[in-house]
Amino acid sequence: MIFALVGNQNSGKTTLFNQLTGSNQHVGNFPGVTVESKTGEIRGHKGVSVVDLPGIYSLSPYTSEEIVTRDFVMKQHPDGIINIVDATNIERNLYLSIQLIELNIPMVIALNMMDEIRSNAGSIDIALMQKELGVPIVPISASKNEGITELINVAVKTVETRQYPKRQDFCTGAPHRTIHAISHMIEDHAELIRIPPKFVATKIIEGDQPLLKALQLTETEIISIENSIKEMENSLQTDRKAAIADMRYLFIDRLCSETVVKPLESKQHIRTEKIDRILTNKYLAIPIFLIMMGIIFWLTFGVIGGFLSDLLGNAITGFSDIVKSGLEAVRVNAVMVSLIIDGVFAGVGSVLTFIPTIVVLFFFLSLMEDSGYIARVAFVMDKLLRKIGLSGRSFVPMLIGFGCTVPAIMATRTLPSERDRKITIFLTPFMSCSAKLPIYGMFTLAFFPNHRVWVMLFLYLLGILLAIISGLIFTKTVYRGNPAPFIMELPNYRLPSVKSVALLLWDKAKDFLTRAFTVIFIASLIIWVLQTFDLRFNVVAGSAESMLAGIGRFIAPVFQPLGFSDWKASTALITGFMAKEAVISTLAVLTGTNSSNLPQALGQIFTPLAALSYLVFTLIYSPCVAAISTIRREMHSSIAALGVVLFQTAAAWLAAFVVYRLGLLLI
Amino acid sequence: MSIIDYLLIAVIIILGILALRYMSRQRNGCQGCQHCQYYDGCNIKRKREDDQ
Repeated sequence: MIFALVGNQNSGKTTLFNQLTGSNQHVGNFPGVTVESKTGEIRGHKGVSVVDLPGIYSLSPYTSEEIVTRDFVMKQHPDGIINIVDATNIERNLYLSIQLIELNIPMVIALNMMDEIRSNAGSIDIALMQKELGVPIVPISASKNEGITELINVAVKTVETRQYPKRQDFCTGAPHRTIHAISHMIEDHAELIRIPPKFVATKIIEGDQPLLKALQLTETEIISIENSIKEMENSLQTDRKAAIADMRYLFIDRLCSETVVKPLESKQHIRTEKIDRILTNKYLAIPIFLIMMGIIFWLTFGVIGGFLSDLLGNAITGFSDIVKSGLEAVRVNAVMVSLIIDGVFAGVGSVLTFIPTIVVLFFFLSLMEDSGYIARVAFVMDKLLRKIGLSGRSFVPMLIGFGCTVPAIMATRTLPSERDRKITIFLTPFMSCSAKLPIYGMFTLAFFPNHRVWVMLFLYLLGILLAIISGLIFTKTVYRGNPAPFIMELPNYRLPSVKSVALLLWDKAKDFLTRAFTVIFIASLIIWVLQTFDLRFNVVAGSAESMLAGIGRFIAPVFQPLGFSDWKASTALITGFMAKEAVISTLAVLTGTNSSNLPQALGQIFTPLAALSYLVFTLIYSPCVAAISTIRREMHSSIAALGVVLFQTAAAWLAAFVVYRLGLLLI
Repeated sequence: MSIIDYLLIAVIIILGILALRYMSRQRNGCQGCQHCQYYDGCNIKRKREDDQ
């Protein structure tokens, strides 16, 4: 038995999915977190699964997320639908419910956030609403785990006893006549594709082209359908889409006036409005955001994260020394000792050191997200992004890009326009992902110990600035046109949930640990082998005679104008293509140092200006392999993915060149 | 080279194979976990459906 979990964005679907299945999917406090469907088995009900689908407002085929949800419900034919409805925004949520009911699939409505309605003196006549809609309704509070067991029982019973919606006719007046006329005309065709004729008729009136095509109607049938629709438009003096929307809202307004006692304005909402007057103020919003980011960087790199990373670095170095002494005591071969200490320990250890920094940074970012502030930042950024021809919606994927480019590119599916989506995919790699943090952390420690926060802030802002410049280039040349309108619901501010923050931090730490012990481990082994042996597989006296030195020297001239022509620096950039953290592990292996001594070793390869140029290059150059393959998959084009690689690398070279040459002029 | 050296080489080779195996599963999209957000595009899911 399969249930589709369907609802508006930010209505609590993923929270309910987690409660139903006992899983721990990331729940965001801004719309568009779910971009792909997720499946899980309902707790205590073997063989009963639920699919969490992306949030949508209607069953139209306009955005990728609408298409994912619509395709699942219409083509996969789930046994039942659990429609989650946000009771605090009931009118807009019921707009989707009515369309789902028209699909004639056993369905139950989970009326979420009922605790908020009750605590603000509101009420909903559940029995009357059930009667009017013809489907069972269960009041729940997903975040407090209230009503979930009853919801499961009702949902399973609805499917087992094959309770189809008792009512499917929500129309009146001219649209009513047109819907019925068209549904008779297309009845046979609709049955062939197993979708109720009345639903198909309504969608055709709305101008649903994919559905019209799927019906395979004759030319004559299409003409007579068009005539019926035009007749309706003339009699109502409105267009087809507005006619259907008016018809649905007329029914919803009447239903709500009979069944809903509106809650008073909640304390949270009053507080939210007060805070928003400052945080989204026309003049203060952006300075406040920058100050907040500055404080977060200061705490992360200067106070808490930096301190913890130093402690961990010392512990790893101490452990590495103990292992080295142990290996030497049992007379292990010197080459083997070098492999374990200079290869594995130096490589993996240099990356592991940054776990505390990453956890601390994401702790603050998750507080911002879970409190509802990030949604405001997207709103504020809309104006700025519009100036470069993008909408504020593009900000959400870009923001996710500060964590990892892979989910960020997938999150572009929430963008309604293909033009916006392509530009956003091109710009997202400019946002500095968390894998680059070890590089920044190590280089700022080595070359700018007293100005770490400022260098970090400079790098992050430079990424954003270059994204803006590239965005302008794209929208003035290849992707001309207007951005899609941006409508985003701003959630009330709330205290961040400990569980949500802890889960996010665990996910980040786990991901980082996994990469350290897989990609970085393998990269360190390969680098160690290449720098220990020559082409005849003889152990070399110094790494300058190794195979790797040969490869590094071959590409090093490309970077000479940028200030770093040492073969070790260019070799580290190649391994960074596999995973960005590998830049640091490679430098650790090549210099034969551990995380504590690496800053001194870097001082012999780079000057402070060359180090800054290197940082700028690593900030912008080609995304890692995983990100490139995601771009290829999402854009369905290998050429586009190659384009991103070339564009980013060229931009990186140019930016590093400008920074280095300007620096030379100023010093 | 002593027996400890050979043992250490074996351990590193096994760890390397395990890491590569894990990475190759990740690159293929998934490990077949139904709770995974990428489950829809996963090869193992497709294989399971084909088997059915």
